[in-house]
Amino acid sequence: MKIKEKVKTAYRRAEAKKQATEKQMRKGGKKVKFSRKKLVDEIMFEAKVLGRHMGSAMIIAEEVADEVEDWANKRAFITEEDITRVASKKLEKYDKDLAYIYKNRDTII
Amino acid sequence: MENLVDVALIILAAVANSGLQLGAGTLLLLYNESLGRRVRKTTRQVTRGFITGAFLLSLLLVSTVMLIILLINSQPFTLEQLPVVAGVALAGAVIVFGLYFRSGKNTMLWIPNWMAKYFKKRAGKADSAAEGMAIGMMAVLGELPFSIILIVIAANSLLNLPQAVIILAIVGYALITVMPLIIMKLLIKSGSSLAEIQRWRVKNKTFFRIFVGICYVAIAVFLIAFKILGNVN
Repeated sequence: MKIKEKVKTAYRRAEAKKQATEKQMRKGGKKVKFSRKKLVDEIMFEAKVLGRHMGSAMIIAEEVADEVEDWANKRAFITEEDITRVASKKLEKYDKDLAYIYKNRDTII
Repeated sequence: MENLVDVALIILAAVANSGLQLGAGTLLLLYNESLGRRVRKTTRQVTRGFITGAFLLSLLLVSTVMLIILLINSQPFTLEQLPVVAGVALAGAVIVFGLYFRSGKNTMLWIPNWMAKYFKKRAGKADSAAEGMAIGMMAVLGELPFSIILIVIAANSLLNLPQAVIILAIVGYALITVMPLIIMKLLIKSGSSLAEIQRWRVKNKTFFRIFVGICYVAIAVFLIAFKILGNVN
């Protein structure tokens, strides 16, 4: 009887964990594979929007991509939103306007 | 006095319409998408087209609604119809207060996601003034669920004005509605960054909501006080 109870509790916990992960994925977007090139391109795009010097923007983008890549390598799975959040946080060290416009590029309307 | 009330209603409707944020948001999006892909000259042309498109469609819409009112009624709204219009304006105020902006530190609007994505896609592809104009017109059309009542009220008040000033008043109405877009363009031209403007929009999001909502309420009160109660006796 006791073993049966334990199995039931373990099963319920596993189900709850699965549901929580699914909920988190629904909220945070789809699971994605980190692409360094995509991140650098996106940062360079926003840097051009703000009229930043392309040379310095490229250095910043590469630095941020390095840091985000390190972070992504330590995670089991990441979402698009995770990458945006972490990259904008890292970008803030170098250029606050660039970080802001990068973070909010999909929330203007 | 009667004309003064109509002029006040037209100005209030135009100001409320200009406070709606889809046009401003789409212009900012257009800047963001265009500056990142194309040279500044193209962006200038596209945004100029956008503002022209929004202006022209506002002109056309208000003129069309005037014509429709005349075709249906043969005169401006009667005393029996005006309470309905005032009621819809009040309902508009409630919707603006409650539903216009999505929650969070952003300026995301009530529009469905597919529409926002479509605007973004079109903004990314626009590379001529004509395409900018089309996006400007789409932005005005997209705002219609909120702005139609303002356009109807402005059109009705325009019909009450002397014929000599009607065209001037229509142009004035359309100009006021696109004024925030012109100001935004001038700000960007004078060196303000998109980040600064977007930060300001996010910071003043609640203000916009309250301001536009109050304009709707004021319009309804004006209609009730001067057009309905004022004409009952």
